[in-house]
Amino acid sequence: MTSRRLVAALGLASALAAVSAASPAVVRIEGPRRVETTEGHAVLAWEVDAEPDPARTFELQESRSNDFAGAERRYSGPDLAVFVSGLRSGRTWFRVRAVEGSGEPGPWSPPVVVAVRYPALGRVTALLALGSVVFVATVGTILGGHLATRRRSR
Amino acid sequence: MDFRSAVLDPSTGLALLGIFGALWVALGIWWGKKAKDLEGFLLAGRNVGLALGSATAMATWVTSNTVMLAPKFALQMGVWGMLAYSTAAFGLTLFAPLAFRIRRLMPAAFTSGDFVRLRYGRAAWVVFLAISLTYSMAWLVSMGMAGGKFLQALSGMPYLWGMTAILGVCTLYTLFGGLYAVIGTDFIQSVVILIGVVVVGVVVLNGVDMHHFYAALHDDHPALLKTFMPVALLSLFNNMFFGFGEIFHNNVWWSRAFAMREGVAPRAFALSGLFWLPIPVAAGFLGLCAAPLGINVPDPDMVGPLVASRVLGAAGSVVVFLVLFCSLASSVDSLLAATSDLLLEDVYRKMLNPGAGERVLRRASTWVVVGLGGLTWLLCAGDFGDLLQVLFLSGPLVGSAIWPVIAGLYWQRANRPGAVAAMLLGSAAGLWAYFAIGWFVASLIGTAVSMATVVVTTLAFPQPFDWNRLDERPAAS
Repeated sequence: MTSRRLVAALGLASALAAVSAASPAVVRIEGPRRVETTEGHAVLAWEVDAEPDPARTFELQESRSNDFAGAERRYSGPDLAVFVSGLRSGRTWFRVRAVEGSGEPGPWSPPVVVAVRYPALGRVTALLALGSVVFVATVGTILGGHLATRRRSR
Repeated sequence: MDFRSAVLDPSTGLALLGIFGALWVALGIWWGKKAKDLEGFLLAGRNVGLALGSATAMATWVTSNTVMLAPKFALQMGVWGMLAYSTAAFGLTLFAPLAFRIRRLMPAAFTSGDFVRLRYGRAAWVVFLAISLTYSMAWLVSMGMAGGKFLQALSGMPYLWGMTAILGVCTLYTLFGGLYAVIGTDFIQSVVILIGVVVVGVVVLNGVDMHHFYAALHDDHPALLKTFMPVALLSLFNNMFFGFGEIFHNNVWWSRAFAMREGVAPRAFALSGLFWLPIPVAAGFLGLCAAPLGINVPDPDMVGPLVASRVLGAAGSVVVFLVLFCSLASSVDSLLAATSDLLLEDVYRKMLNPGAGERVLRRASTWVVVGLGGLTWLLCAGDFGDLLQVLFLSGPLVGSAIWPVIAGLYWQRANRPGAVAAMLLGSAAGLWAYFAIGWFVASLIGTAVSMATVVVTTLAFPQPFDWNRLDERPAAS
């Protein structure tokens, strides 16, 4: 092998090593960028653009603002999904990144916003009133009918 | 979705499945020898006592949904969600007075279909059967699929194997032993379920620091601690009416009322409701413990088994395995038996072969049980989606049957067109609400519309009914 070829081969090998060491996995949260819910919960699952690595973990952040000011860590671990529930009314942003076994973090994923809009108070109150009426009528009919049956059977 | 629950070794799972499966089938064959005639096979000789009666009602109502959905409700909706699930106990308790009335009016009947046919006529009967069979198949298939998935998640067993094993075992012992086998195995299964739930609940409770419990919920799930949690509050009524509809209309419960000795059914149903009430509360608590224990939940459907097996380790996985297996078996066998009765009595005997004698019917019952088990297996093998959603869709259908049943039992002037209209309008309105508003109001709306229809039609077009027409005994006709 000529010295020029040797230098080229060594250069290629070191370049490949540098690429594999310096490129933590890229992560993307599956599904639409905006999730709307009336129930305050959602499943956030993500996919990884790299070969599986048991040493790799993921960090999920949440924030009440889209610039992630004051963001908090929601999850850190090896799972590829998190179920979030009991979210406050309004919008909450989430983003995730991979952390390689060496401790080096990858880039943050594009954020996903979960917009929670609980049913309006007036509608909820009306439906609860309806439920109360149907419940009282159902129980009253059964108990009234039962007492009448027992009276007649004596 | 990546799911890393603590799992049993597949060979341990297979061994447990083999031991308990063989036990149920052997008991089914042994108890089946008691069934000397068709009435013995279908209704256990109408001689079931209080202990077996309470246990079978309780065990049947503890389904895999109770063990899975109660923790999921708690995780999604907090304490209100847990309580919402437990309202299903009221259905069992309220069925006690209905059972008293049913036994008094129809001492010789076989199915809930008999009641609707005799009380409201053929049109209402057909609508009722369509609702009941749709619901029963959705419940049966959701149980079969749940069986395959639980065994897969807990022991790594392939889905098809686990599902086939659960359905195969239940079909076999129902086939050999009829309702005798179903009620007998239900008794043992109810004991296993109660012990398992108490063990898991106590260990998890001991493992949680209550100060940390509150702080973790406050940080990770702030809305779960709110008193006014709209969806959870609405689901209180929705779940309650779904439960009323399931129990009041379905032949699973009517066949038990017919199978119990005179005077036993009301006490048995009242007791089973009391026994059942704490189970979803204990199971639901597991869902609330996930965050305080630092357990990530990738799939809310599996939060209960995930927390239990994580806290109890390998021993916990065995307990969870047994509780789930017993919960599934006690519901699948009851559904197979009661739905087969409905198909045999209401479809085969009443529609297809009215002149069939005892031997023909006994042979037909074998084919109906095998056919139903086979059809369920085929639908489960497809694994074509989230059948729990289909089960929830049937909520408004069964909710719409509540008022035709209770008015038919107690109101002499409740009439045929009113019952048909109530079931159709209630179902339509409930299904509309499911898609337009959400699952958490579908059963409520369906029940409310059905109730309004029954009340208005009874007041507007009263038709006096002769109660003696419900008693089909030869001496009474």
